[in-house]
Amino acid sequence: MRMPVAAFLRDVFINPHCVEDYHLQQWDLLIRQARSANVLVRLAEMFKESALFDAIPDKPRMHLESAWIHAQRFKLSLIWEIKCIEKALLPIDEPIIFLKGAAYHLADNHAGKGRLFSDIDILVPEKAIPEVERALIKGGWMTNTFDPYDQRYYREWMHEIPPMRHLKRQTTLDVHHNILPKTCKFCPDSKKLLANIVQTGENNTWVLAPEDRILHSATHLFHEGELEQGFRDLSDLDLLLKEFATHPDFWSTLLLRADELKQRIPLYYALRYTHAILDTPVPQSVLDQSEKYLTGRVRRAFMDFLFLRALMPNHASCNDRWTGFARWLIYIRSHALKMPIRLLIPHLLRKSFRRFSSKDTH
Amino acid sequence: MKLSSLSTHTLKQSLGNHLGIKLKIGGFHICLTSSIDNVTQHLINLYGDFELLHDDDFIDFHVELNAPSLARRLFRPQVSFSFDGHVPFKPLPYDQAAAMFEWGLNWCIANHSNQYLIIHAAVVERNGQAFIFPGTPGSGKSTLCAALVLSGWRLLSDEMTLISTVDGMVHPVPRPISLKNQSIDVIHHFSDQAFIGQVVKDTAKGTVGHLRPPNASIEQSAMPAKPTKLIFPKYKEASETQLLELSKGKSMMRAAEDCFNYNVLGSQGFDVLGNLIDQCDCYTFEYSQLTEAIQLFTQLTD
Amino acid sequence: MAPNFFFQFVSYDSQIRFRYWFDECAVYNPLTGDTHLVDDAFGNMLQKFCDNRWSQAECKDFFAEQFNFESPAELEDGFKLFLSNCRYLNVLEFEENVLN
Repeated sequence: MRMPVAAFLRDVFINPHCVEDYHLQQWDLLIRQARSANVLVRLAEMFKESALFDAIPDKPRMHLESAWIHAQRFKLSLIWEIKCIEKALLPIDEPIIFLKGAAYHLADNHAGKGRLFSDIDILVPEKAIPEVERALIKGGWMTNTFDPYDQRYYREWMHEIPPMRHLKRQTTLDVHHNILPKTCKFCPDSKKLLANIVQTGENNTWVLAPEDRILHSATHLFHEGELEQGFRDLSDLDLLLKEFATHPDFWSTLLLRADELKQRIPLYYALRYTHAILDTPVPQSVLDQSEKYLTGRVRRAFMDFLFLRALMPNHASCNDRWTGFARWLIYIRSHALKMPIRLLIPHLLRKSFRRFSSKDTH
Repeated sequence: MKLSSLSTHTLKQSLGNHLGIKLKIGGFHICLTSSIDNVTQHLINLYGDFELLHDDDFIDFHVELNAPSLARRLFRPQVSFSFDGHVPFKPLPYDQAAAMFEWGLNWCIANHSNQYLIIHAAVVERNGQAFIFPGTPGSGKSTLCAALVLSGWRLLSDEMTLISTVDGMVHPVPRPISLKNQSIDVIHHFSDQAFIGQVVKDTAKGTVGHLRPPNASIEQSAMPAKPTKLIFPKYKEASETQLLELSKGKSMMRAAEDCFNYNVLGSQGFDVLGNLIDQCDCYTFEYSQLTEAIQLFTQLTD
Repeated sequence: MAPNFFFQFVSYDSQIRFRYWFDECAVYNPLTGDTHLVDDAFGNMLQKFCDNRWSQAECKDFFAEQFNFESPAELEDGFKLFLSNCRYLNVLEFEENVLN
């Protein structure tokens, strides 16, 4: 596939060894792109794994090292935070399922390497929500918002309760009962997700099945409105796919599961753009099969136009004249996907009204 | 080549186009773009002795200071600091552009240099001994630092002490010394060699001016120094000059509070700070007479 | 009889760090990221306990050896205080009723 824009970062993610003859100006741009895409640590990990790290010139190596040191501390605080959540939810009989970054860490997935994030997400059966919320409040978490509109917005339409913040540690926890909003027409049956979960460790701590982890990552990325982290999330998918593809039957299970969970379109995007941008080894037959999920050649070409730009590192050097427009369209699209239009217009109006009123206070 | 060798016209032109001005500040390479006259003037006043970098050098921090939008420019002029497209702070009034450059650069270094333990402290050196003065705003650390530097001490840093996690040495990053409110006059009176750039009123920190760092300190900025004293200063009106020993444990806890990245470094931060405490004599220091303070510290290094 | 607790002193890969200066001890807990300043006796005890998993009886015996308590009741109070301090500092975890 022809890429509209080039980026050193993309080249290096496909083949880390291409830095071997980089001069300092190329390193300069590579570090900048990686920082903007929030993958400096992942880049450092890649160089360490390929035994390239020590040969990196001093200046760029310092930046990778500095980010890597930060990530070591982040990992310990993640372990501690998970421990605290486990402890607070000890009285709950239902499984506690960690999602996204925390799940990659718990399952020791490659996608967990060098991945920094601010919020922890968990999934619990919907019927357990009140009980979980009470247990968390008892453990020191508090809801972030008392605004009645926000409360109603979350409780009626969303797949999660309003974010909770720990009073002492100031960490944020998102409690979900599904991976997509109830209002979204591709919202999967959460019972099917729960049926395949995998336990990690001794506690009541679980993660989604490998295929479901991929589908969740895909559906999250391709419903997302702001793709500042788009390249990082695409790299997560690349790493997950490569890791799980070693299991026999992986690809057929993945396609089947996408069917069951109504996630065929996000899977199409995930396979198409990881393959196009990060050269992820997806079998041709699987690519062909998934292409049928998004009907219409014009539509597919239009999506290429959007995503081949918006999924590149969010740095000025990776933009062309259409990138801003593409990102804007994706923002509008993400809201349309999550809500029916009769809910969307009032919601967006309210959001923009707030934006104006908050500006006035400065 | 030094920045002072550029004509005002060339400097302004380079700052204004996207290539910017590439400066070596201590161990850091900075590329600055800005079309704000205040910023040009700030560089001319205070950064004349700093070396310019070559075009093919690696840049640590690409920073920009410009008005956030056209509407803002016309209506209520403001300046925004950007680190390679990322805007970490809210815009400030236009006339604070130069101060914002200094604060922005502090932020860049403090958040992206975990090869050092970074203490919010002034640090100066004489006869091979580096004295570290941690302190919150109002403690008088910058005034003390300025007066020591004007008395012949080498400036390592006025705002952030960089302790190498490898060898425990202080790595210099000499930059203009930020003086606030009354200390601007105090330093003017202290020495007629003091050159203070533009003075800006009504910033978040009150009235702010910057003292030009001595050329000798800039020229020696590649030379690390061994920390020997950790002194927590406190300016107190009409107080006697008083240097009191502070226990190592308490010093450790206080210094940890004053670090920018102690928490980020984790166990390594604990080790590096612990080693620093081991090798330094630790004190609290109360003063009101600057000359007495300088005399005392100079005696300690004779 | 009190349940036979096991104590696990929280230490991620036993990496709790200690540093002594005369009667002061700085303790760093890498898991929580907290630094504490305690007296040297407290530090010594913590350091000892961090090496291993201890039963309540073993802990208390060692604790009693460190100080001269006048009566069993005083020992009991002192030990309780020590444990609550440990818990407050997040350096202690209980594995309750392991043997019951």
